[in-house]
Amino acid sequence: MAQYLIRRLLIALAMLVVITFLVYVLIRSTPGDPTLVNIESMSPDKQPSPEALRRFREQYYLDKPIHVGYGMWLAHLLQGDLGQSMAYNGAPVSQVIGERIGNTLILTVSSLLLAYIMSIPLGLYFTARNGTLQERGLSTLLYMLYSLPSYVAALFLQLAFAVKLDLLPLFGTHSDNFQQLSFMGQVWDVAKHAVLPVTCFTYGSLAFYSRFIKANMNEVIRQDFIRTAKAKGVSPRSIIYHHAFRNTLIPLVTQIGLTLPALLSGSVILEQIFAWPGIGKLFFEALGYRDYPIFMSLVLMFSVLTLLGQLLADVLYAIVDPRVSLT
Amino acid sequence: MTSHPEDHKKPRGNSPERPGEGPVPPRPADEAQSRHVPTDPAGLGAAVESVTQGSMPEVVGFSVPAPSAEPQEPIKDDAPRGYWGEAWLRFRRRKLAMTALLFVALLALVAIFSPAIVGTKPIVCKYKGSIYFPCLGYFNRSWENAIFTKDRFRNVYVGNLKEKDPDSWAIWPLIYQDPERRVRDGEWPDQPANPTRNYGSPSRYNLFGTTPAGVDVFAIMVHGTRIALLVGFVSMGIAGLIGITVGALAGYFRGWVDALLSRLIEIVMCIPTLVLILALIAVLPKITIWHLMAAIGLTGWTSIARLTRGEFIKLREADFVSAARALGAGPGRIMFRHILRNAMAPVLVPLTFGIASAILIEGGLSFLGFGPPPPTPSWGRILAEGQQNNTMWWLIVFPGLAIFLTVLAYNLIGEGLQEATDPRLREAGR
Repeated sequence: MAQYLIRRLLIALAMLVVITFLVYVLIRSTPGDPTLVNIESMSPDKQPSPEALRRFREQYYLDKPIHVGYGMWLAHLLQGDLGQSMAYNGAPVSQVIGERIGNTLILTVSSLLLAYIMSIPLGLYFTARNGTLQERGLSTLLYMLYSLPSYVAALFLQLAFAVKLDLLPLFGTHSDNFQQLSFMGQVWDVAKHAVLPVTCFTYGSLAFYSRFIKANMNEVIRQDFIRTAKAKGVSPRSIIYHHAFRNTLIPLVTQIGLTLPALLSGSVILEQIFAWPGIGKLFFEALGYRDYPIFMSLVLMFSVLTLLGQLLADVLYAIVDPRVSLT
Repeated sequence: MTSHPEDHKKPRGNSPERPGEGPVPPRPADEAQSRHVPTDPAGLGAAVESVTQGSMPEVVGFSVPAPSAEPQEPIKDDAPRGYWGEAWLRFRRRKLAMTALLFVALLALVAIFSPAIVGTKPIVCKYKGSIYFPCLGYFNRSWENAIFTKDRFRNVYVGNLKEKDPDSWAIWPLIYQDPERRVRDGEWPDQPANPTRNYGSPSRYNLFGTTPAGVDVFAIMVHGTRIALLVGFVSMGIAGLIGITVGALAGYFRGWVDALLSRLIEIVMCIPTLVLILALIAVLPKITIWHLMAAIGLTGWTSIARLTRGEFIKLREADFVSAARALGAGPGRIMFRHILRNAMAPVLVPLTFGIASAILIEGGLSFLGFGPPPPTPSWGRILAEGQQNNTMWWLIVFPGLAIFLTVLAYNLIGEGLQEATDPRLREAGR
């Protein structure tokens, strides 16, 4: 086990180097220079002097060849330094990301919890009522939801609840008068702003998980031990809860590992639509500003999480299912 | 028939597309899978076939209470249909999947005949003694005869044709609107100019309304169908080619080839699609829809590669492969003639789902502003305009529904295909 873990981790490290290098090369070779992008956004009377520009380029190794720039980035990273942002007034990258990550977590964590809480009973309901009209109707509805692109859903929801009905705010994380509100008022305000994005984040995974549970339950329910349980007179309810559902927990648990990257990365397009200043939006902005330090750090974060998530899924799988051994 | 330890230790195979796969205790499924072995050339097929038939009578004697009207449905033992014939029969019984297939066929028709449905260029016209098809210009600029540029038509045919050649005649599209420009006053008899800004709500002249610039939304959507379908097929064609090759090599050769290619798959999964597309813009002077398709294809092959790899690992130990090897077939022949044919069904399923996600990605990229440049009609770009002008509901509802229905249709087809070809699900269906 330990040997397996060490091997996997070493491979993952090597892959991280390859991924970050590739992305660094890609982003450095895209047209658009961060210095120019920043100048465009400044007012004409506050243009930086050529001297300042030169220093700026030196600070970020833009004057050096690409591989040197990458080497310096890696060297700083190994010392625990993610560098300074370019477009966010030179604030440390970790600080910029730290400011945004809370916003993303509000959306992703609440949507993940909602999806799990709602999909388990739904999945069990589907299994118990398999083949009935209600079950088929609900399944079809969920399947349609699963195919509904989140950005389309987001725009439809905005149109319905924000523009037409005027019940919920169109976008943003809080209202203009946020500072004057009491604490409960602030919570309520953020909750109101989060309703639409969270819905958009949730419905897809809800559809996915409930189908996932149903599919796994349908596999388990045909097993011999279920027939035995039925034969000895266990109540249907008990069969579903105790005999069948427990056996479907294995794939469900391993699924958690795979949701890890999505939890922190948010969604570029949804955060863009709802003007929600989270990680996804930061990613998009950093791409636009050619803010290499921020962009590289985000790519690093996603890759680490993706690789870790895969490893976690494999390990969790071996832990919960004794038939699988890691070698 | 060999069940591999590999099969039980790939929880990552639990892609959203195949929720039932993977973490399942061993079932007799693998036996059933050998039903689509019979494409081996070695003549061993007969033996394999008869053995399977003997051991699995319940599958061969497959008969479903046929939907009343069609009594020819039950499959007879003595009338072999082949694997795909049977899969097609099973697919046809699924009403939703068939509806979806019809919908996609309809979309294809709309795409092919888009210039004849909506346009401002005549389908056929006789001009100065020759017959022309100016509407082909919507497919490709250069297919529009140069004579019209030379005679300064400036893309307006209605008055110019008669004016420059009184004997000319033309057959016009069903609806006189253009996906690329605003139709002006007096161009077409009794048709007013398209409203601009936010006045263009749906009317009898603009069925789905107009954009703020006054371009007809219905026209953009009809012509955008072409893009949507092309994106799906071309990008998944690329993805399928790469994915199947990589997966086949990794699964067949195993060892270091597998280790290397598997890492490659994981690396590509980690690089964000947006970055790759931006990098493509960097290399190319201007981005067209074709570059976008290539980018989507180049990032979207990973799941196909994984699935192909899994199938190859399973099949490379099959008897028919040993037989082919004993006859002296080379690895290339074994991989792509013998194994791939038997692995085709499970690989086709993620391809179909991939088409759906390619359409979704294209819409999203256009929505974010990374799509093809403005004259190219795209569903996603109407959505983006709709978000900026959120009182114009028609800019959101119609393209949104179009993307949704297309994605749904492909997903339904994919699911139908999966249940029609996967013997495990096939039994579960009853």
